[in-house]
Amino acid sequence: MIESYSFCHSGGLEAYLDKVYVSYGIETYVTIVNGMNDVDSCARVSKAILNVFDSKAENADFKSVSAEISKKVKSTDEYLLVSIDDSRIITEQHGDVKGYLIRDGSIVRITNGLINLHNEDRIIFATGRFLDKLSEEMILIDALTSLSAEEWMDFLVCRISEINMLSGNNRSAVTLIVRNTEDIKLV
Amino acid sequence: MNIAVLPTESRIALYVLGLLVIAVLFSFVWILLFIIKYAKHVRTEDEKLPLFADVAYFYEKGKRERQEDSVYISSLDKYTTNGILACVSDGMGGLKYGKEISKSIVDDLDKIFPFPFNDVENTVSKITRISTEIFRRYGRRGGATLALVHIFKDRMHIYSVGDSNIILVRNDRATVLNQKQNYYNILVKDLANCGLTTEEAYLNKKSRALTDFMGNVNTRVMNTNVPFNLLPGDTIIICSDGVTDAIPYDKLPIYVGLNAKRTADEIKLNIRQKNLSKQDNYSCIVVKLDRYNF
Repeated sequence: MIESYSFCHSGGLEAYLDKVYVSYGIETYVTIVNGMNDVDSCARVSKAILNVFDSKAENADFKSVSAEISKKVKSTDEYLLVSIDDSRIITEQHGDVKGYLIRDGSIVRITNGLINLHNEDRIIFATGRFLDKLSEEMILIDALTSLSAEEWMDFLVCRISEINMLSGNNRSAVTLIVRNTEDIKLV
Repeated sequence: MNIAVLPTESRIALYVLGLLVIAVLFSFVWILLFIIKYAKHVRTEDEKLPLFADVAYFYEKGKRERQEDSVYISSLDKYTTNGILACVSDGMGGLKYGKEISKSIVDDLDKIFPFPFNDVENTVSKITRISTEIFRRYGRRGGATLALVHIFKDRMHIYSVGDSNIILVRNDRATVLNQKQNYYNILVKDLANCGLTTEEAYLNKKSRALTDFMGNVNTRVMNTNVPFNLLPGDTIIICSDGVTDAIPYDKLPIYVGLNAKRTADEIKLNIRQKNLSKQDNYSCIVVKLDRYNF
């Protein structure tokens, strides 16, 4: 099971131009659109993503979803497309949208492609404007001390708030935790 | 030159000389390969060495009537088997028994240490029990913070209650590792969830008040579930808010010196020189980590 939590904040600006979509199914799809640089780009990418997700078959593979979206967007558009399940994550990043994987007390930057996942791996994807005030040490320690994806996000938001009171920019992020389904017991 | 025309003795001498040259060259290559292999071996062994901890502390009263901080550092004699436990506890100002409570926390930690590094759940429940026992004895008429690190080999667990600081200085940059349990964080969370900016959270000075502390019931211990990996050259500063009120945490790297004692001395001297009229008690433990034995 993938536990996730999304954060979307306008930063005191009139409009929130980023977009965050999380689509649950056999595998979870996460998409973040970095919309602050170009409103048209944001609208184009959002439309493409929604179209593809509305029409895609339930077991459509990542490659075909990615290909469908890339047909409808421009090469300069900034977005992230992620497919994740308990065992692996496939990532495709375009522009200033980044990700980090936290495993065994260490943090690594996620690059495009496939990474095998383990139980309790923690992952964050965010726009550059969310991450620019956070060091890797901050992201790592908050991942190690938080009990849930929501709490991890809260910790990070508090750190950003201490620096700029969350003002000035749209900020968007998604935190994800791989939870081994064997650990969940309903009594 | 045609060797065949030379006398037999000269030919033999030439062959011997040739063989000698080949032998010398072969030996040279062999020695070179041996040196490279040895250097690699030394480097690998060096990387396998656990990080050594150099520790120093200070413990100052400031302008307060009495010292309400307490400090605990476990014995370094058993560093290789038990690691090191370092803790600062800051008695809550304005409440009775701050001093007694912070002292009882470090005394209790001394009693329960050593404990297994990876048994986090058990350590958390031990700390919670200490807090509950304080509540039983003092009934919320006092409390204290807890900032605790347990370092073993290259890894560190942190345990924190309240708003004391555990700061990592790495590559000349300071990071406060523990999240503070105060109303700022609750207000920030609420404002952010409403889509608002968070200026309002910082306008009220009362927001500094603690939401949890040692001496509360069912205290939430903020701890690492998986240990944080340490690197050679890292400095860990565990301190009460009397230190960070005088020196903002992001300025602390300026005072980090070659060893823990010099770092602690520099921080202490700087706070003393500032001579702030409302200087709180200021206590600090500096742990400097490196691959060689200090």
